[in-house]
Amino acid sequence: MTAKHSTHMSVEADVETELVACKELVPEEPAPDLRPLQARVKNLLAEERGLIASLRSLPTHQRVSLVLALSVLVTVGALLLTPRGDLAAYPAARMAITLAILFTVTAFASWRLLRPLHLPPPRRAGSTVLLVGGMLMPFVMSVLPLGHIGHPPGLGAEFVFGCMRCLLFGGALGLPVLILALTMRRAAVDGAAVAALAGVAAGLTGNLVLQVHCPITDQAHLLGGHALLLVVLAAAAWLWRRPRGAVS
Amino acid sequence: MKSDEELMTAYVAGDEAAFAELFGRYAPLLVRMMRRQIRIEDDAVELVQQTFLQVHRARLDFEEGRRLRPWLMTIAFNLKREYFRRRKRRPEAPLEFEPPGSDPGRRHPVERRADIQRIRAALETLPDGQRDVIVMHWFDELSFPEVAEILGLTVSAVKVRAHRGYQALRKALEAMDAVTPNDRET
Repeated sequence: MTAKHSTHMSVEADVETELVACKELVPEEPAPDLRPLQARVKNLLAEERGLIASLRSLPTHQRVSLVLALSVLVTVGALLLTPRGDLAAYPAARMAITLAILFTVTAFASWRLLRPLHLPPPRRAGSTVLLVGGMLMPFVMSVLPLGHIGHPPGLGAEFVFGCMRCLLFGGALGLPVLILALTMRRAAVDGAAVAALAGVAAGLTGNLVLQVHCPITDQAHLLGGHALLLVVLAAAAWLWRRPRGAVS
Repeated sequence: MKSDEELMTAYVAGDEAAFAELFGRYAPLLVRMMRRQIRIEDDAVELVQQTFLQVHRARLDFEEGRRLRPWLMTIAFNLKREYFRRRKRRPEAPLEFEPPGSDPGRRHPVERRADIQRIRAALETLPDGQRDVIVMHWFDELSFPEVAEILGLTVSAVKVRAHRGYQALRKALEAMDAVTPNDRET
């Protein structure tokens, strides 16, 4: 028997001794009547019908896969139907790395959002890092050198209009991801910050779409028209799913 | 008699009677667990309801070969944790303590209240980590491996917390008895 094993055995024996000592110091009580509770649970489960209930009941890997599949679908759709004008000139490696990073963070955000309750509680810091990192990712990428000059962003009202157009286009195609992700969440736990990860996943999807759609490479446009989308959608998710009372 | 895991497998396959059987096995444990630390009765019952709802929603996540008890208790623990997080409060020490097989008429209600206050006060002196382990091990009657699985800790870490926690708890209870010895007489 190793010293470590011996120590563990000793600790366990001490714990049992202490438990017996504590039990002797407190009394025992009866069990409650559970019939009303059983009826309420039965009613609650009877309401679990329809498409939303079916989506929530899917295994977690399928729920996450569905969110990611939708993200890929809208991105590929945008690429096929409305590709960016400078696609042929855009550095292929840069495009691949950008898409891979955005998609990877989308996957992590989706997994954390849809994390099942039968797993031990995660570290809060991990969720915060994911939320902040996910939101900052497009900002960081927008200020990195591109090695390619795309279309001009325009000036004044034209610039603002260009940013708004990207926000609306990316937002419209990211919104289904936000709705699907929040719908498939089984419980509003771990606070509004984790709910905001639905907005991060949707915002990143919007950025994936804009990456294959928008030919403007000006940093101010990328910040105001693309990266800002994450902030808007994360705020929308935060507001939509902010806990309002009971755990549900 | 079917095991918990067999019943869960049957429920996943569509056998609703299996869920009723599981309810009968786990509801008393869950009600005790929630009531111990939640003073508002409706909230405690609501959390038990939510636990069974989440078990239902997560049923297809239940993998063959896993043990149901820690799986289900982790759901309950996470919901309880969320309850306290929303109220921005640390969990309260046990409101009631009702190990199974007890004799309902053994103690007078006034004495029960005094005992409840004693154990609550003693447990509230412990750090959260030690209190969680003791509440699960003693009151919820979970094994150390089960507690470790629920909290995401190693079994050794759980045993160390339990050891330190029980020592501190015993000292706290004894100190209270020394101050108010009449409270313990039945």
